[in-house]
Amino acid sequence: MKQKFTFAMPSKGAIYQPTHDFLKESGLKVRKPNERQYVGTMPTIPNMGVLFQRVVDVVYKVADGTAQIGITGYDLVHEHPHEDIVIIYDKLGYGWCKLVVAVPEAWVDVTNIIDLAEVCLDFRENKGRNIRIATKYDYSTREFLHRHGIHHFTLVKAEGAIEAAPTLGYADLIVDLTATGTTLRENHLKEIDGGTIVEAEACVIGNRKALEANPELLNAVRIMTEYIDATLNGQEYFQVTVDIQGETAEDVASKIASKDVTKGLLGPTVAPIYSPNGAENTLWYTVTLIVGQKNLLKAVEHVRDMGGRHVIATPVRYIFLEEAPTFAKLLKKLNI
Amino acid sequence: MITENSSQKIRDIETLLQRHMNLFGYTLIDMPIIADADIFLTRAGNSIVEQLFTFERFGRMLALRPEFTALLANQYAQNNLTEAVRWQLSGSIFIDDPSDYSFQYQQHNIGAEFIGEKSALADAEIMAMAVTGIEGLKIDNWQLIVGHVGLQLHLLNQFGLDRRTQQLLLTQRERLKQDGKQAVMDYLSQILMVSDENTRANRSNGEETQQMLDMLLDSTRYTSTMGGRTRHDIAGRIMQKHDRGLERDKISQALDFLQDWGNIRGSLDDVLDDISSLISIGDTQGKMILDNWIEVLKMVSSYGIAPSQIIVQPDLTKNWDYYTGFVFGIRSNDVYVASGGRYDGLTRLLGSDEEIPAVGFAYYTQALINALTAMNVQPQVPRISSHNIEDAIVWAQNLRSAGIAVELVSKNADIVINGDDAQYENKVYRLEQLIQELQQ
Repeated sequence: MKQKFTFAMPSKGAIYQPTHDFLKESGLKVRKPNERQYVGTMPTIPNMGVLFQRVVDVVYKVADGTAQIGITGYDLVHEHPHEDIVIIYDKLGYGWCKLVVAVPEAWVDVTNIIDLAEVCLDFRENKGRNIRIATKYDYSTREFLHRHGIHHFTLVKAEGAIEAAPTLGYADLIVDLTATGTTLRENHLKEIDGGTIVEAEACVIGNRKALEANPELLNAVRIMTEYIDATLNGQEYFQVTVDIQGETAEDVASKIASKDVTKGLLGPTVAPIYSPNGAENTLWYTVTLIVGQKNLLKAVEHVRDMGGRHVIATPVRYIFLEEAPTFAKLLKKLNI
Repeated sequence: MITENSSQKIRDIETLLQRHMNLFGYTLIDMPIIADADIFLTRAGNSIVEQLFTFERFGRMLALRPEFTALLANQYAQNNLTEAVRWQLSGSIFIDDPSDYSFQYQQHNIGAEFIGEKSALADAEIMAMAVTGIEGLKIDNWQLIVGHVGLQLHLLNQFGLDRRTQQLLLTQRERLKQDGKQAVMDYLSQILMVSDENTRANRSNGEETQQMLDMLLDSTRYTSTMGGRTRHDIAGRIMQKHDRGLERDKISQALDFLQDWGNIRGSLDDVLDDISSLISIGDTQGKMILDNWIEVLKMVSSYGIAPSQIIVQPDLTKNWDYYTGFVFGIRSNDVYVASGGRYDGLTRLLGSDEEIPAVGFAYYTQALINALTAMNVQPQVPRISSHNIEDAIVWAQNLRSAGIAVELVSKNADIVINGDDAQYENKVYRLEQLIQELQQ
C-alpha cells in the first residue's frame, strides 16, 4: 500500500532505542531497511511511513505538517509550543527526566525560587548586570521565570556541557534536564525547591490540521492508539491463574470476588478441573483473573488464604477496552 | 493591527496633536524601532519586561521599542546634551501582551518629553499640554488623575526597609485593597521570611544564620563554582535574610501607611489634609515635595483646566519603574488615553554622569480613536477644494502660513473655495475670517 502519511521518531539520542522497543512491544514494530537511511516502514499500519529525525526536529516536522504523527520528548513539545500540535499521549512511560533550575552548591542562601528572585535583583542592583542563565530551553525558562516574578535575567545560549557553564564563568546558573541529579552534583550544582519547570517523558504528538482534514489519517491514528492503549493498559496488569477447591463454581467465584484486588476487570473466570485419577473427592477449579500490578502480592495472599495452589502470574501484553480511550480524547480535542 | 481605516485616523490625530505640541515649542524627532534591550529593561516594570519583544543578534540582545521615553532619555545622555530640550515623537510601539487575545502587537503612541528642566513649570506644562491636546480633539468627558511616586517613596523610606522589600510592598497594593493587610502579611511571610512572634526568638539568636554561614565556609572551601557571586555576596545576603526576620513590625507599619495612602482619592482641596497627615511634622523634605506638587497643580489650573476635572490619587501606579516624581493619567470613559510623569533618574541609569531632570507623557492613539468613535467625533484635518484648483492651492498655502493644517482634495471637501470666498460648515468666510474660525 502506498504510504500516504509520515510518522516521525527519534533517529538517535536517549529515547531512540526505548522508542523502538516500545513500538515493537506495542505491535507497531518499525522496520528500517538500512541503518544509514532516514526512512522506514510500520507494517501494522501500511499507509504510514516512518521518518527518523533528531528529537527536536520531530517537533518541527509535526508542527509544519511534514510528518503528521511523531514521538519525541515532552520537554521539547513544552519548549516549542505550536498551535498546530496536538498532544496524543503526554506520557508513554519511558524517557523520564525533568527540566530544572540548578544553582551553584555554594549558594547556600538560595534554597527556593523566591531566594533566586531576590538574587536576580541583587545582581542587577549591586553588580550592574543581569544574572546569566545557560540553557538550551529559552522559551520554557523565560516563561517559568516570568511566572515566578523573575524578570531581569539574560539567557546564555548553550548546546553541550551546560552544567560546566557556572564553573567556566560564562553563566551564573543553568536550566537543564536531569534524571538522577548525578551530573549536577558532579558539577557542584544543586536543584532548588520549586525549581522544576517541567517533568517529561516520551510523548506522541500529531498535526492538528492534518488530523482534522483527513479521515484516513485519523483511522491510522485510531489503530495506533488501539495498540498503544492496549499496551499501556497491559503494563498495569497481570493475569493470575490459581487452582482452588470449592463446592461449586459460584461459591469459588463469590469468595474470589469478595476482595477488591481480586475482582478482575469484570469478575473471575472459574472453570472446573477434571482430574484423570479422581484422587480427591472435593471439586477443584481453575480461576483466571486480571490483577493490577500494584496489588499482585495482595491478590496472591488472598487466594492462598482461600486454599489456592499453583498461583501463576503472567504479564498481560494487551488489554483492549471497548474503545481506545486516548482516541476518544483525541476526537474531543479536535472537536470531531 | 493597524488597518487602512485606522491608519487614516491615526494620521489625522497625529497631525492635530503634533501641531498642538508645536505650539508649545516641541520639536518632532524620530527614534529607531530597534534598540538595545537594556535601554528598556533598565527601569521597566515587571509587566513591561514580560511584554517586550526581544531577540538576539550577533550576541546583542535587541528589542522592538515598547515606548519612547527611555529612547529619548538615552539619546539625551549619549549626546552629552546639557541644555533643556522639548521633544515630541510619534510612531509605532510593540507590545506582546498575552492577555490581549486580539494579538495587536503593534500600537501607536504620540508623546512629548521635556528633558533638562526641573521646575514646576515643566511639570505643569507637560500635564497641561497633554490635557489641552485631548480637549483640542474635542474629547470632553475626560478626567486628569494625578499621583506622586516620589512622595510615596519618600514616605515609605521612613520605615527603614531595603529597596527590595519596598518594591515588594508596592507590588502588593492591589492585594492590600482587595484582601486586606493580613493577607499581604501572610504572603510576605513566605516571600521575605519575615518571622512571626513565635519564631522571632529563634531568629534573633542567629542560630540559623550561623548555620548557613558555616555551610557557606564549608561549601566554598574547595569548589570554584560560585556562579558570579563572591563569598562576601552570599554572606551579605544571609545576614540580610537574618535581619529581615526581625522586620515584621516595620513591614506592618509600612502596610498601614500604604493602606491609608491608597484610600486617598478626591479633589486637591478634599484630600490635602489627608496627605499632610501622613507627613510627620519634622519631615521638611516630605513637606517640600508636597508643596511642589500643589504648586504644579495650581499652575495647571492657570491653563484653564478646571480643578473639578482633576482627581488626586497619590498611589496612582505606572508600568514603568523609572518615574521619580509626580505621575498622571488622563481617562475618558474609564479608559486611560494618555499618561506620563517625572523621571529624573533615568538618564544617569542610561549612562549620563549626572541625574538629569526630565518629564514627559504619551497619548495612546488607539484609545483616543476609540474615545472619539464612542463620541461620534471624527478628528480631521480640514479638506479644501475648488472648481479652480489654483484658488484652492493659494487658500491652502495661506491657511498653512497661519499655522492651520489643510489637505488639498479634488472632491468631498470641508472647505470649498469660490474666488475670494470660502464655504465652510454652511457659512461663507473671507480668508481672515476663516483663519480665525479654524484657529478657534
